[in-house]
Amino acid sequence: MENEYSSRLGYRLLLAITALVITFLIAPLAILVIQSFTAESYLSFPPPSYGLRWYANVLTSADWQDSAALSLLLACIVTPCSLAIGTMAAFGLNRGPLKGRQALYALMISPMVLPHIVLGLGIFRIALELNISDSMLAFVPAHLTITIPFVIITVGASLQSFDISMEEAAQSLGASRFGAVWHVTLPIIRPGLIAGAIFSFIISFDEFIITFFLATYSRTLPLEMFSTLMFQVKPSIAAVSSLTLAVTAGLTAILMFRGQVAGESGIIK
Amino acid sequence: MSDVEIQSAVKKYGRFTAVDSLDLTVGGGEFVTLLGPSGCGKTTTLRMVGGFVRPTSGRIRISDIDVTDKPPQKRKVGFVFQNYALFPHMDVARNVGFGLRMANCEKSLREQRVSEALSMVRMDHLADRMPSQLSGGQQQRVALARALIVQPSVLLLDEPFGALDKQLRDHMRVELRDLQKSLGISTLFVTHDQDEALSMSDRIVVMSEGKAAQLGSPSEIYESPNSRFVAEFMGHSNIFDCLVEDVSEGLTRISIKGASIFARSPGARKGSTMTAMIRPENIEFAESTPGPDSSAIAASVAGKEYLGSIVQVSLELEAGFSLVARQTNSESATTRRLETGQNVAVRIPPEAVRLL
Repeated sequence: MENEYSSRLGYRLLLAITALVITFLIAPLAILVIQSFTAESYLSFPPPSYGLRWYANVLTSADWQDSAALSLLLACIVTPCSLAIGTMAAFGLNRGPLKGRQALYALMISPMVLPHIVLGLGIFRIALELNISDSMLAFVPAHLTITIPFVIITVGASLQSFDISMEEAAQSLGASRFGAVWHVTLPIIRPGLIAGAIFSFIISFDEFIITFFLATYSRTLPLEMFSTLMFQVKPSIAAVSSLTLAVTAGLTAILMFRGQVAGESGIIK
Repeated sequence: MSDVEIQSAVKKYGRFTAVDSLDLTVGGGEFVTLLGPSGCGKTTTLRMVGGFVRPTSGRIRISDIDVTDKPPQKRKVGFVFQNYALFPHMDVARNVGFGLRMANCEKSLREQRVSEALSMVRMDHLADRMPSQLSGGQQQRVALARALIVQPSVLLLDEPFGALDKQLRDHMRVELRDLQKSLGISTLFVTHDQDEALSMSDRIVVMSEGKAAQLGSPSEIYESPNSRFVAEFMGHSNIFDCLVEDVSEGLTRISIKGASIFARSPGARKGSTMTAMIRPENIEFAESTPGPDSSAIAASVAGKEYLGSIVQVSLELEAGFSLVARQTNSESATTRRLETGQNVAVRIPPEAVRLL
């Protein structure tokens, strides 16, 4: 039948395009990861021999350890701050006066679409004025400007589908306004909170451009990778990249897995 | 002592007045219904009592305490929402126990009272279910138990039967009313359904455009509406403009499109224009065509509707207006034998005509 044939053709075409896109997305990563397991002292594909030499090198290097520790510390400070501020902003945008809400929303998520170079330059100027450049006092707020929009979006989406009468019910049962939010609203919008937290962590952990403006001696992991690359291309870069990839992919997997579980638990549990 | 007292409450949204100086007192375990079409201000009124809407002016008192400026959690009201608003992340027992938890009630006492509340609504066997696993009727029972466990001074119900199918609705009506009576808790109930209001209430407030159009017992509201709005809203089908032709000895002669009909209804002034309401169930059928002396009126059957327990007939009167008559579907009911197009004689007893 004509109809069935054409739909089958369309389906195959779709499959082919999807495969192509996935290949283009995954292939560079796959090549990188494979290269990281080389036993040689130079990068090549495919590697002539395999080993964990460069992972050992990276994990025992003080430079890599310090920069990884700084990035982790930064992400661990940024994530709760981002979640708290972003959630409060999302509540404000959801519950506040209707007038001007759209404009305020657009303004608050604008760091997502602004070129990071521009943001970085601006923040750098401010940090210089305040004499806080190259410190956590500069890094944390700088990262927050770009992570908070993600929390506003994920928590905002959860709040949009949240039925406010549940909060009212909690209040009429004796809960204070804050108690109602704490005991009822936050648990119900938890998937949005988790998504916002994971986004914040990954973005802060991976952030390069803005931090590059602010850092003089401090080295976050992306900065360390960059400066290493400036001098030499060694397999250690591939190993670090693979480790970073593992952390990011792991968190994303949690995000997706949790989303699935949350979706199901609504019905089953 | 009154449980709820609404004193000239006004709620304005910009230029729109949702509630317009409403007064109402509920007490002594009575069941009072706010009845009206959507947008009449009934839900806003209920939400003002619940503390979710702040009146523009006027006072709200609960148990003789002015609560106008108090938040919902300080009012001791039990609120049952239209969609029940059960907490989806808590099982039935935790939903019901929420109010006690907020009151820092000790755990063992809490558990005991939760199980009492659940058995009161016959849900004790489902205590560990999640709300999403419950049917509509079960969810409603949980919502009721949850609202009642904190022993509120007043129960507020916002169209609680809206989401249920008809059979369950009828059942829950009786169940809710029995429970309310046995607890003796004053209740304010919001609905747009006349049947619900008539069958459940001690008193009904019919609301229109933010005002109380009429306040009275179900029979007063149904049988003696004080305005055309109330009459129409309560489902009366025969409402006409009429001219008062003569007033004498308790009998009033009115003319509807030239047809003279007698009414036994006080307060008519000769020559004035009024609204006549004729109740469909009171219209009688004469056996044959009317003689010159009788009060019967000639009509033809324009349509017939079989509704099971009752049979409804629409009649075209010679004077040029139509009338709906309704009879209980018994063996002797005249309407059963009527066919469309048939000529009949109808009699309208003066008691069946009410002038507004």
